[in-house]
Amino acid sequence: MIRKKKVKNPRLTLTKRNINAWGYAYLFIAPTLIGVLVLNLWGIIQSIYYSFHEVKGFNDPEFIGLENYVRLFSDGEVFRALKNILVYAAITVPIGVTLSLLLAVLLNAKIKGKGLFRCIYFLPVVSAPAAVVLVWKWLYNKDFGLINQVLETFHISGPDWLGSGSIAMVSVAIVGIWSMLGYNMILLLAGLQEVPKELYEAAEIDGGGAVQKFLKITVPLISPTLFFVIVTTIINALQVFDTIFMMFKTSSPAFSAVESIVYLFYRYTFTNYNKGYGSAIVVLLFVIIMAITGVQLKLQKKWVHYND
Amino acid sequence: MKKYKRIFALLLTVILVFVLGACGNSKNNDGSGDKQASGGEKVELKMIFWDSNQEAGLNDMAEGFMKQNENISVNVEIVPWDEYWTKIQAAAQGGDLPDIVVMHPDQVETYASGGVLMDLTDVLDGEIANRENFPEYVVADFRVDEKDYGIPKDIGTLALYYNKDVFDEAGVEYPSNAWTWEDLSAAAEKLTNEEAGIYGLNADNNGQNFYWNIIWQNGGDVLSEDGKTCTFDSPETIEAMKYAVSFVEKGYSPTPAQFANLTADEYFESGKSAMTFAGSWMLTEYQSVDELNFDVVELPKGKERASICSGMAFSVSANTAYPEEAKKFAEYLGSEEAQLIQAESGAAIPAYSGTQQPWIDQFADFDAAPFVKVEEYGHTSPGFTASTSEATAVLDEYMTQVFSLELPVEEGMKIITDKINETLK
Repeated sequence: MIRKKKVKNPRLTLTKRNINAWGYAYLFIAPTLIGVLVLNLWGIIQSIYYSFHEVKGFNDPEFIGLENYVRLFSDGEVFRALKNILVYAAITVPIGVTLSLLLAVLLNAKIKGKGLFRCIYFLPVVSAPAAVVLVWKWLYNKDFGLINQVLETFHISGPDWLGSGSIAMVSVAIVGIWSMLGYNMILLLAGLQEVPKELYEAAEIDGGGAVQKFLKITVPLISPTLFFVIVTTIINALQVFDTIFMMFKTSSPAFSAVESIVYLFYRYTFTNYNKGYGSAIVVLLFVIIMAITGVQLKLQKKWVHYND
Repeated sequence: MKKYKRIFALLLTVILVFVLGACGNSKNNDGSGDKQASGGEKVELKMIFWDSNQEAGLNDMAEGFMKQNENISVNVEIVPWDEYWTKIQAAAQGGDLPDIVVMHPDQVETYASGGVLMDLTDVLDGEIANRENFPEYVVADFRVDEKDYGIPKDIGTLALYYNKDVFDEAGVEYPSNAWTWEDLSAAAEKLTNEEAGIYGLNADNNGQNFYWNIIWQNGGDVLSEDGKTCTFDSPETIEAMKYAVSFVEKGYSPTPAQFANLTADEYFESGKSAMTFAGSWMLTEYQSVDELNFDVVELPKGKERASICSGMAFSVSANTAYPEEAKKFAEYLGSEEAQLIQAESGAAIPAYSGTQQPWIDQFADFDAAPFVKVEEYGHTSPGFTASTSEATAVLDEYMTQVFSLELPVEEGMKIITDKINETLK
């Protein structure tokens, strides 16, 4: 058996020439890197630290070991919030990603006004969340909102979007999907434009239909982008907060059906001044998101094709 | 094309510079920094509050102070209620609390015992803002561990607002200060018009604005005297809650699900609710609705008269860069002069005794005296402080079910009492 000698990659050795080359690279990513380390990483470490302490009001943290976690695992509110975000993710991710993909494909074709349409679909992404929720709240109003009024003209009695626990999460999901379509669409568009047109032509010559072209050419070739979009959409879905915070009061009958984990964290940390328990809740979310992302990373070998 | 690209790039750069410049400027105004105030140097104080309806009034008070103190400038910032406490908390944690913070009786304990508020006992012992001039319960509300942390600002009370037009259309006699519980129910029945979508009364799932008052009017209470036991299940309280919920039961009031779509204020302002229990702090907002023709009477009497009567206070940050000046400003805010300015702006009922009449006189269209009458029989906020605000979560869950008629009143009160007692341990 021939033993392969380990050859050092000349690009990675610590020579002056290489430092000159990467030096600028590191310089350019330094601001973002420092920002992430200071603002994000430090926050994560501090949250994990607090979760093992009792931090009430403005008092100093008191070490209490796993007490917060023990309370967490027997807390019905936590399980309810978890169920809520899983329902939200189950609605928004499949529908959102599929619609974004569809839009991206349509807006990649030769149609008039492509640029205009792309702008229109991207507008929700750059709209202020507070303004967005304000308008949607009025649209959803049971008696006077536009949505129910339009349904009336079709003789359909519109549901109580904001007051009924059974449909409230759907109301939040619709706003969520609407907000994210444009962003995912732009990402997928970028991926689509990498697909060589010759492949499509070759498929047509071989007699391939639109659906076949889509499934056999488009999807595999944009799978890296699609993978990224799915992972980030899931992560964002599990962290939903803004829409719920602004559309529902805690005393609303629909509240228990829409309270998310981040809302629960907000409640304990800011309303109840109980930072220790709040931190434990957010660490739980962190672990769950890591686990789900980890599983997805493992599964990508099965369906994501990278051009290596 | 190249020409347009260059112009575009230039325009973008100019815009960016302006935006960054604006951001930079506002940052400079926020930071109090380590400035030393010596002699004629300009001192900048910042005051923060949550009610935008009172912004003008507070600015007037600040101006009164600035006239007497040429070297001090005051900046008033309004942060909406929903974000106020989050922002204050974060600021206190970061040592960046505004110099003058308006405090709430339910919150002051957390901040005082956390060491972020300045001890103002000597101000209340002084000449200008002496404690004798304020209602004793307001001063007491801001007393923590034998020290005073707030200079009383105002008193907020509740009264019965009614829509004159709706009453006229239904042919019902206007309410009077002599009304009882029976009068209220009878009127609500006559005023409710299902086809027109009009309700007699807003029976909102809200303690401060509705049911605590009803409980007190029946001689009950939500917490025991020492604040250690929950008394929601006392017979008087259960009886009162049954009365409160009866309005929803009989269809005289919107349900919690409806209140999730339109708030109680919106129901009243749009003429869809004929009567509502609301605070003196709602006056400026209701007045701004042109089509709303309203008047005010005292809350109806149960076994006794009762209404919430709570005061807010001006507190000073313990970490302020200008302790002397901030204290002086706080003292001014509690002076007769400043309180009269507050009265004249109609913003809130001043806490200083003898300054309430100008506030009443502000309102020509209706009689505001019922609010001031409450001083005689008012109850302060039940004191669900931060340490017991997990009790609020219990109320949010179970009281909502009671008002939605999904949970019978007696059973609901027992569950609430048990759960709140657990959080109080």
